[in-house]
Amino acid sequence: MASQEGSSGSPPTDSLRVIPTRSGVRVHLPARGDLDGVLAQLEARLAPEDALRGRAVTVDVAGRSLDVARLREIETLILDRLGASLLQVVEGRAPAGPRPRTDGAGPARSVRRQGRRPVEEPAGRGASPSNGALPLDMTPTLLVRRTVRSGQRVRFNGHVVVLGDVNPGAEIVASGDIIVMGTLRGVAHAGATGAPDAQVAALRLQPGQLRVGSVIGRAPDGGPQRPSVPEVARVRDGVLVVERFLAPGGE
Amino acid sequence: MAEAAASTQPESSQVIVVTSGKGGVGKTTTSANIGAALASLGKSVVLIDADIGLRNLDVVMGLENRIVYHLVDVVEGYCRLSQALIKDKRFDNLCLLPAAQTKDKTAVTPEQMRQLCKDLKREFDFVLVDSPAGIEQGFKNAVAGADRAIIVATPEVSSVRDADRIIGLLEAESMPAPKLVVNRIRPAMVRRGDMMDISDILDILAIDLLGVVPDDESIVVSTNRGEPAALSSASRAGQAYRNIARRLTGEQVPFMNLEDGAGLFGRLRRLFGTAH
Repeated sequence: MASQEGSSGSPPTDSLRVIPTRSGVRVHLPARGDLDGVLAQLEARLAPEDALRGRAVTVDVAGRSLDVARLREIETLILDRLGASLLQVVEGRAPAGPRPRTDGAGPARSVRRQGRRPVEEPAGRGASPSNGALPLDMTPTLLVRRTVRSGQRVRFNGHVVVLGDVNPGAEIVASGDIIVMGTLRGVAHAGATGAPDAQVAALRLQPGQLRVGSVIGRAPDGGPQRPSVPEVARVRDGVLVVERFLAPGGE
Repeated sequence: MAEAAASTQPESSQVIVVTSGKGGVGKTTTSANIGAALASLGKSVVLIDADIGLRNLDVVMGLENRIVYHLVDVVEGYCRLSQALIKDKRFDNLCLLPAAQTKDKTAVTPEQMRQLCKDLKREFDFVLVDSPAGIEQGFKNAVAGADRAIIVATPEVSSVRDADRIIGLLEAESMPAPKLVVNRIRPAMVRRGDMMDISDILDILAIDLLGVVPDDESIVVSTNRGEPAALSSASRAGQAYRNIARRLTGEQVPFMNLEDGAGLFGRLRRLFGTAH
């Protein structure tokens, strides 16, 4: 759980910093000091303004090693008490600025790494595939075994798989991929913490709006019904592309 | 079997809430008509108007000027339950518990509604609760004492969306899956592709269909007169409500063919593809 990146960035500071970003805020925890106190301070600062409601929050824990219970505490504070819709915890200073939004390959990769590694660590422990085996994706995955109805919202730091439909007015937000084993008619936001290689797949992909990373796609007004075959939406050259789902070969 | 007979409360006795989320889709008309149709089948029925502050069910039932006490009087202990129940003009086995017109939804709590439904369930085969529109306090009160729900939706995207929201909220109440009544369908429009058809709606809502009520001018007339259409043998909508009532009693009733009403002229129009 130790930071692998802490030394590569700018030196951690001793004060709590909250930096606004395009989609929310980035919180830098001080590298030293009692975490309970820091979290209380953070809540006191952000709660009155209700500034995080529905926003994306990145917490940089500045090289502290946190156990799962601590991560849960942060999650409860940011998501439940402060009402943010997405949380990403990073364990060190990112080399680049916060949240690069360009479509270039370089920064994009780093964003994805940031988004996934911290949550991977607790879950992946002891379950890592042996070297040279299949390149397995150990990102936590949430299984929703029901239809997600209007007004219901699922948000998860990881992949989301829905065994049912996602109806109009429902919303799925995931930092990873979204897979719907049914008809997707609501809003799906994959790669919501910035992963540009995230994808949305559905047996019938008929969403009103799709978001992958920072790219937003909308169904054409009064356009033709989409075919009833499994499809997948990805970002290619900064544009959302929907194509027939084919099992990836040769990997 | 012997057990059911020995019980003071009929085995089939149940509290059903009629709800929709969206306003104006026909919850009150549906409640009144299902109530009247159940009563005509010999069941004892009480209708509860849970739309406190926007009292309507009494008007549709034609019982407006018989109201002395109302639901809020009962829960506040101002009168006895039996004093507030209004007996229908047509059926001795049909009663109405009217809403208060001068109060609002906060005058009643879900706990009080639960107790009220429990009390009424002892006396009647069917307790039908007419829910107000919306998903706030009034809705929560209406569903509090219900064993099951009937969702009313019209073939419109907005109505279906709201129905879906309601189904999601009812799932959270751990109620059995609700049944759907599609109201005000116009077969001619469906045929032309100008209106959602039943399968489109069922595809999204994924619940069982309890009945389909055609759009029918006789409903407007009967509603204004305070005579439920279910009691008129000429009304097609009335026929649909009678079928729904029979299905609620456990009978298997085939869905009626809505195309019949289109007649020769309708079929000719379809042949020539004229729209207006």
